[in-house]
Amino acid sequence: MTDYKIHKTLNRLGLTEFEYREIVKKLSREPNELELYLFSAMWSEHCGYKHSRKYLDSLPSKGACFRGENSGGIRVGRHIVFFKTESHNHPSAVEPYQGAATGIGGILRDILAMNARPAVLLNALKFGEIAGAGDISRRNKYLLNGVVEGISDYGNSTGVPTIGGEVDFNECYNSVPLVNVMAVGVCHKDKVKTSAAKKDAYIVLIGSATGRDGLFGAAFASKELEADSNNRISVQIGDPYTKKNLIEATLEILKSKNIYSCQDLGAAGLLSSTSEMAAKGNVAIDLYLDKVPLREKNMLPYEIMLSESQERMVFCTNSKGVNEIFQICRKYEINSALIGVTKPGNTYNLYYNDVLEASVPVYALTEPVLYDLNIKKPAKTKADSENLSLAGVQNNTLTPQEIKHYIFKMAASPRFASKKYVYRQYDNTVGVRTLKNPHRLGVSPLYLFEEDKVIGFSMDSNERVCKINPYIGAYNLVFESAANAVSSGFEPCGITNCLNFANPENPETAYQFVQTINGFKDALAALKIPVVSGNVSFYNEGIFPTPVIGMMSILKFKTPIYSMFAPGDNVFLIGKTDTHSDGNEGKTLNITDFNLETKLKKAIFHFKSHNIVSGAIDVSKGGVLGALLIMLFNSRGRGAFSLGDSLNIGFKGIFKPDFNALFFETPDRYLISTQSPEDIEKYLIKNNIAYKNLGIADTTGVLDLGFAKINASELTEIYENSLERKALC
Amino acid sequence: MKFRAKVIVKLKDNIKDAKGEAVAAVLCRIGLENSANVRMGKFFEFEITAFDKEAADKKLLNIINEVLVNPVVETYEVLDFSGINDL
Amino acid sequence: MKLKAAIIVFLGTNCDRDTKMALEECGFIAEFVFHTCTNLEGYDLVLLPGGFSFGDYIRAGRLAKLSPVTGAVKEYVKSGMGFVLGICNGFQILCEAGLLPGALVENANTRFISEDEPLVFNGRDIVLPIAHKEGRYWACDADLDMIKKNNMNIITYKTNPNGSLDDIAGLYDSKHKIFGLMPHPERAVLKHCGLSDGKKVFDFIKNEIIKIRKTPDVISGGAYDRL
Repeated sequence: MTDYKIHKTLNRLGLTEFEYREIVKKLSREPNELELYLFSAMWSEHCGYKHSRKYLDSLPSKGACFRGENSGGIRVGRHIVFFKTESHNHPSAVEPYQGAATGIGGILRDILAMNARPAVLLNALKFGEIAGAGDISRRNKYLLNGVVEGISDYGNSTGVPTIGGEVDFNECYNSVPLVNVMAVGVCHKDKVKTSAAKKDAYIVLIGSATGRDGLFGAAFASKELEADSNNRISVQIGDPYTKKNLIEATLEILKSKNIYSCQDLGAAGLLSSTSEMAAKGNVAIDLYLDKVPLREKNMLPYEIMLSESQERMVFCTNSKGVNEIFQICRKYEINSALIGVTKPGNTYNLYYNDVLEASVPVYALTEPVLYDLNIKKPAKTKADSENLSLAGVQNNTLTPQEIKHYIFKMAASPRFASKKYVYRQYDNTVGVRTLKNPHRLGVSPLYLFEEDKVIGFSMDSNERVCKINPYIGAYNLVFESAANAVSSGFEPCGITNCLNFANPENPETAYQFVQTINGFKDALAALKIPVVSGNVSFYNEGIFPTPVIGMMSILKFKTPIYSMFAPGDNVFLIGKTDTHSDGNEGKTLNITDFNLETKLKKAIFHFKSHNIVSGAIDVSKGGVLGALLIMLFNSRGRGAFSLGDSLNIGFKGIFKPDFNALFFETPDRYLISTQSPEDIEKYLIKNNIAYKNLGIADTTGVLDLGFAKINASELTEIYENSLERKALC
Repeated sequence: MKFRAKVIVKLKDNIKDAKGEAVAAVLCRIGLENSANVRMGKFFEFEITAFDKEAADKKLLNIINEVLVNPVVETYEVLDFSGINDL
Repeated sequence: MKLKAAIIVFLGTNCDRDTKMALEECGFIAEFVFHTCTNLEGYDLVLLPGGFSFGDYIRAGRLAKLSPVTGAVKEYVKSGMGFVLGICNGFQILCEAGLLPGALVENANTRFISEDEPLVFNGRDIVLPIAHKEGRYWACDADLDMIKKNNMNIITYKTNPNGSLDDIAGLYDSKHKIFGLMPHPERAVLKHCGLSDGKKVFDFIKNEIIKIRKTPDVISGGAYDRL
């Protein structure tokens, strides 16, 4: 190629001239065009993590199993619980239905590749504002409805329940929504399959035929999204039916001792899956591209290698295994083809009709140039601190009537309102692992038949805090997730993360990213829990830094603690009880107090083990009153109590009409409800934990705050249905 | 001989078409059409190989009745069914 | 003696393992039977579980009626070998195959609905999970009259979630021992699920099967007119 042509090609492929020189060095020659395509995909941020790998490696890993494989996990008894997140932000921005569906598809395959049957799904969805009737909110509603329908149709059909996560709204996602999905799977520790290939074996590809869909997907996710309708050509199409067959076929195939290893085809499809297999196993691979089943005519070698067609898996097996795979695939009516062999050595050879089209050292592909980030602390702006709590920091001279009005407004706001409109579209009971009322708990619970234990999962984020101070944001986020677990009676045991940021080559973004990692590192070290797996999504231009974490926890008791109260329960606020009566104070960020959190956890677990707590919730969105309202709403409505859904739960307490005391969001606080207030008080006094008795739950159907009375049914109706009304109008 | 069929299948008129109504409501809300009376259906396009047109017709009806349509709730319409050149 | 159940596994079926656990909890012996099977002799119960058979492409349950096993199910009914139960996608298949009257079309709100649903089953209030997108029951007037006349509407919604005709959540053709329903009894049996009314449904079926076994003549006479 001429210099000019190389320059143009590099530009199109997202490689720099420096990277090109590195490639030439590694090959000791100029790459041909196909080889250049291979490098561009493998060295993209999406596959190669070239800007983030150095930093991610510093996160604690003690206690994690199989980190570095398709998915890592946590050991529970004789089993490994695998869990991992993946982002599909860019595809969802272009085509929300398929973008979200294929996101689910991708993360399911990561779990499946470990020989773990996918057990549950969660997702963290973040959209721009949906209030009002303007073009922006109309587009955001289109994205919300499309993403949710995509997850619903795809997830439900594959038979994997979607049991929780979060749905949130912030103007900063007007440019690109966040679709972060998480899958969980379980496998016996002795049956886990890793991805390392063996030499002198065969490579078999199964699943859908390969088409041009998702071409350059890896590079696509690594570039800033342009307002170009041609982006649509890169969208992959999901096929949940084939995925279901692929799941069953893969699990059946992996039962055979003749199979050495397994990989899913995700970003950079056949290329990244087979090259990683070769690199991990330290073997050479010869692939015969004319053997790959194709869906479209006249596909070029690079198209076959880079296609991101969905619903495909690849296996490394001995000759007996090849026939077993063929037979099982016939049963499930999916394609299978012998496409290559492994050999001693470490070259990666691609043949097409017996012509050697590319030949490169495997490690040159799988070990891209890694970068140190160029970091600069962003300047603080006053506006950054304004929008902190759900309520916002307000003038603290509101009248009781104005506060009452605000409570209705908050109950109806998309951020606070019930997400029932969304989760009602997800099958959350298929698989019969789900505990009753998963949405009335701080974490989503699932029953581990294999070990007779209950484990919990949650997904959380707090971009508003991360925007102001990414270190505190990330640190608090880990504890916020832990608080969800603790309030439900679960002990945190590990996290997966999905790091959504803008362009890392921008020094301010780089600063946010590195500070986020530091915050995670310190919080995880304090809690002594590892990161088991992760995903990075850069180039989400315009968004606040949004690390999302998925936390796994394990139930320490026979039953969980629901975020509910029963008639006659006293409700206590415990932990930090005295903060923010002064509106100005709201502008400082509070970092989680680890010692206090430890004390509070001990207290809640003590109450639960002595059977004197009936419900609990950590205080987050909407502050103390927000938490109280959620308990109230959870205690009302269908299925709240086994006897009588007609219980018209209300609450009576004495509050000051102090806006910030009611609504301000700060960590280290919980509400607990109890039938034994004396025992609770005795313990709290003895252990020097600050508390306030907020009042008593009753069956009057009235929320009586002392300064205002509110009809609980009316407020509940608004809370439960306003998101649906907003999404559909 | 080869034939290409284009068939639409939709709910019978006396059955509420929930999707169609939802589309109609949107058309009304955005002011494009107030009484669109939308019906939504499915479109199938496929090829049939048969000895002659008569055999092809028979095969087509079979495919429609056995596979594409549930006569309890659906009706169909053959939009086009004609021979194609087998290149 | 334990009753023996065949759980039919179509491609795309996804409630097969759930159903097996529930049946075993309720005292059945349960086996998976792949959709290519052509003989169902020896089973007391043939169960078509939930899921998305063949992707529910074309329409829910449509392609499953073309599987070899569906022919075997018809044969099973015709010769009075035992009881047939279809849950969710299984109910849709029974209707598509003409074993039960009417059809299931898309929910009135056009969306998937997953919820614990209060129902009336055989005169008793129960709660079972529902999880479907095409669960709105519809039948022509003549079929509806026949359903009412023969008390086939054995299970109905209390607060109709999907726009089903006459709140119908399921049908029981007691003459031919075919029971189909949209709600998921198998998801309300195991203790950790928190709901237990699924047991009532399976116990009802058990009793019905025992009745057949005691008086085999009840259904063996006469060809089944829908086949």
